[in-house]
Amino acid sequence: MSEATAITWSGKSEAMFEIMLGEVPEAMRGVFRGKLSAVIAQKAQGGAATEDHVSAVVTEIVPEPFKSAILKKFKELGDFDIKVIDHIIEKQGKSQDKLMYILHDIQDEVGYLPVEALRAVSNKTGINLSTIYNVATFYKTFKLTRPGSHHVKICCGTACHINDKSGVARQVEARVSASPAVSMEKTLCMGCCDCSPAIEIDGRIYTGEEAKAKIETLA
Amino acid sequence: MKIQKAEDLVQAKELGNKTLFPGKVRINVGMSTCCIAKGADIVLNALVYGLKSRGIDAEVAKVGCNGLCHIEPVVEIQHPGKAKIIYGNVKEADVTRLLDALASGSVVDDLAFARIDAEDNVLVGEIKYQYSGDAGAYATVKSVQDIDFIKAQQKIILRNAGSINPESINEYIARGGYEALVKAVSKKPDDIIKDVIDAGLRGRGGGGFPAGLKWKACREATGTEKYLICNVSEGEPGIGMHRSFLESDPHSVLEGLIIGGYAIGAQTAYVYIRDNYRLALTRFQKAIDDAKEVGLLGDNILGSGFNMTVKVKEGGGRFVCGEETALIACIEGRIGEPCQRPPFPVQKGLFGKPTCINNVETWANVPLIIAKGSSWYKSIGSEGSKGTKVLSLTGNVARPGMVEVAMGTTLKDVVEVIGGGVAGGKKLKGIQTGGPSGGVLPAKLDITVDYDALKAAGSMLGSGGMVIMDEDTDMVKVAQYFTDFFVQESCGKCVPCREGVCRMRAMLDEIIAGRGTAHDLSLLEEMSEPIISASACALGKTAPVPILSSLKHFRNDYTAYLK
Repeated sequence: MSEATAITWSGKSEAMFEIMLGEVPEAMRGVFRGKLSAVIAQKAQGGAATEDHVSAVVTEIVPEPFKSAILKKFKELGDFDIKVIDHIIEKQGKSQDKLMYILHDIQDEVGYLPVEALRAVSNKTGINLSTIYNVATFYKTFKLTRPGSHHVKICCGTACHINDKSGVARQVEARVSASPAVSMEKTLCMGCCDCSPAIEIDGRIYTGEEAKAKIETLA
Repeated sequence: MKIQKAEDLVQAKELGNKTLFPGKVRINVGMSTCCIAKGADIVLNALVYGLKSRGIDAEVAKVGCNGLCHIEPVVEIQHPGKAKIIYGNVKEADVTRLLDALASGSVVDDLAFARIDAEDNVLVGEIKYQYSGDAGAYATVKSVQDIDFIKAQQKIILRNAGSINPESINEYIARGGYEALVKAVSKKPDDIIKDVIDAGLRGRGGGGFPAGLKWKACREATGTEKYLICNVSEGEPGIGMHRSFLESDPHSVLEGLIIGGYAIGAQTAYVYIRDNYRLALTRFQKAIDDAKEVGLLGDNILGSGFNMTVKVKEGGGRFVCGEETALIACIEGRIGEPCQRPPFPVQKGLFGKPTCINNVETWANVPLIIAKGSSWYKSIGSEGSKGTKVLSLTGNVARPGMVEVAMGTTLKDVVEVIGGGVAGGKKLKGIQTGGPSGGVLPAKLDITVDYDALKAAGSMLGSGGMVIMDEDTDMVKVAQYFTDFFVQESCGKCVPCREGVCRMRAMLDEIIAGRGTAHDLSLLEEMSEPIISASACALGKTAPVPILSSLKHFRNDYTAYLK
């Protein structure tokens, strides 16, 4: 097993490195730890290894589908890149009528609305933080806590309610509650009434029994 | 290519017809959200891969929803000169057989739903598919003209849904699209408004207010900065037809908006699409981008001197934002709290300016009224309700889905002929029309799809939801479900709504738990009065309706729970 090159980590770079290694089969992880840490050390050129260094190694060396999976996990790491907020505000504008566009974009980018993001939006737009928080908590589409690695939405529309005679939605709810990696929300009617009971998993809608089967592959 | 005058539409039409009738096999795969939920994307991939590996050159198009929701995934195959064959319930494993049949010119009988020899399109007239020789192998497939499910409908709003690629402006134009706009800009704005008033178009969002009068009021309002809003909030539980429709034919709505903007003098329109309708959002944005690119949006549209911009606004997941003033607040970046009217939005709306808000289906009616004239439009429907209505038929029904009927059609035809009756052969107990605010009607199928008839029956047309409830339905639990919905969706501003509806739900919980009394039923009726009279918006005003209508029509369900 290769010795990992000693590296000084900065920011989230060490956590990112471990995520990258997590994609390598366990039997080979030791070897790859050595190889990859050497590549990162080379990039860092004696200085601290940054998040950008680790991201660059993933982008340059790691093949698909591992690359996309790792990059996705990097995004979910917690905190957010403040540059994302700047870019979004530059695209959308600073007036209050642009606020929901900004919040939608942040949630699309980060997966949810970190409170730090709301603070940053307030600083950069001049809109009162309490106003932003008011909007972020009034509209149910916005999440203020990070969803799980998988996110399930259970439709609470009329058709799904009355067509679910065998209680599939309740079964899915119980199954998901037992899985820490899977978050769940009950939503307003999703408008797919002929698929009732409709359950959305990771952005794709399934009909009841198929959703049950899909859930088993996640948790 | 730019479309700056009527003649320019001809070139776009040709381009559209080149893909609709490409001189080789054209395959349409239904790809709206509900089709995809049933695996249509997997079928599409298998088809594309299969065609490629067999070296068959065919035009494969992702189309919207053709209303055959009960047999999705749907695949239509059309050989040049031959009838279109509609296949339903197509699975990945069926694709091999479909391709074998395609190659040999035969039909897969167990999957074939119907044959279309020709289509009668409301704008361009007859579109012929079968014109070379006889039907041959296709003769065994039932003609679409013999299918009651189809015959009972009148698809004029849904004329293109499921037949065109919704992301192709040229295919929209090939079937008569944007001809109404060309006609509109040659008329005076006031004359267009006169046409809409004369046609008797009533708002399709639920209010049923005469659209033309709203347009007139907005046009006459003081100020030059005016707005249009297209309401696709579709927050009522149990409906999805406007999602389906927008995913299938976004240009038909866009054309209506541009005509409206010209007539009213509004240069900016916002299309408010509810959250989670991702495909509808994407397809509508594409329609806007494509219209802009050819010059049908932007400056000096068709040389009229009229400029217009259309923007998409995604909602935030609150039912209350379907209400006009709450919707306006949402676009302005505020929380969706409705406010007192007057002033009405037509006088003081978005950003304090005169604003005309109409439902998406209302806007979609406009190109038809302008293209065919108000006399033609008035000939469809009933005395007080003109035109057609797109309905979302859902619940315990054999054939749920998006359908379109002439106003005045009986619920019997909707439920039995189109819907195929109650699922599982059960008896019909009740129908909810108009969403939770409409209440549940007992099984009286002679009532017609009509604003006034449904109101007289104690319900409402609403935006077109029809939820069928069978004999096993416990109407107290249904009332509890809807009351809980209103509790969750109340914006919280008005005390009677916020507190009162919450108390009503708690009382229903007690009744269902077996701790209710006859006095509780009278108390529920008594509590409804202040909630209805003192709430600022229609959410609060109609929140007691599920309880009141079920107490009126299904009181036995309640008394069965009493001590």
